[in-house]
Amino acid sequence: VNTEDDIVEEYLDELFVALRGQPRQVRRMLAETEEHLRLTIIDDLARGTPAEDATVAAVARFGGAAEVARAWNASTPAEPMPTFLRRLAAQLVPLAGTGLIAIGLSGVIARIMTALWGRTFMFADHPARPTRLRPVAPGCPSTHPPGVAPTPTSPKPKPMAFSPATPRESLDSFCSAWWSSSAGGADCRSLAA
Amino acid sequence: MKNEQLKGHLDLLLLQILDGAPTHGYQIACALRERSDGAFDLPEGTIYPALHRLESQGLLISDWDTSGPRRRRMYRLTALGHAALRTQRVEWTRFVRGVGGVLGVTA
Repeated sequence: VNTEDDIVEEYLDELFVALRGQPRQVRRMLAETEEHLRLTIIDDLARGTPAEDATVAAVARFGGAAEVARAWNASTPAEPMPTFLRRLAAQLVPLAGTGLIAIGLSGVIARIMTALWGRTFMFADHPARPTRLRPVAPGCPSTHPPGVAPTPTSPKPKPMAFSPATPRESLDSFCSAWWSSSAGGADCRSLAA
Repeated sequence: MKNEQLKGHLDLLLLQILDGAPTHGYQIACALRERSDGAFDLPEGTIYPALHRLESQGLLISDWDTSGPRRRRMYRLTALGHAALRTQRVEWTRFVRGVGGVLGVTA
């Protein structure tokens, strides 16, 4: 690419960035601009003007890109939605659609798995399968800072009484106490293995 | 003539230049400069927004001429454009006569 072409291309790039409006109208304006500049250069070359001078003069006579774009934008009706918003929407809509499809599919898969293996398999926090095991033994440190009494409205957890002797006895007594008060299964002892 | 003054009358000038054979933008710019004897030295790029606007108003139509080595956008007046040209010429003549009368200058 020679210098003359560079000058014209740079001018067209500047103008393209500054022009507002429908893409087809903008492309037409750029095509006419390029044609105008080429004809001006050809005329000047025919008069003996050096190529680079002819190119610079043609661009100068056409007017600065900002000035031409100002005239163009003033005569172009405003778009209902600015270009950058349309591009943003074009990017976001497929992304949101993909996300919604993924959520829908996960729901379908969850339903199928629930039908096959039951709710307790699918939902770990289902009431039929208690997962939290937090007995409050006597002597456990308070959750409140020292010197601060619990608020009257907050219910105090009821301690689950058991007296550990050895670690094994402690676990056994704890398990029997806990399972006797719940609808659990018989797997607690396997935890000690 | 200052560009701002010229812009106010650009539509009339463009319609007048196009009152004949189909013409492309570069020829219009040359005609504007030559017929005004260099007085109308408007940035040539500002002609195109005016041409597009006149076209959107239905006063001009244009299409690509691909008969030559390079394609060119050729403009020509519509019937509405011819009517607008007649109206604007009458208004301009009345205006010039009025200003001339006040200034004591015969056009």
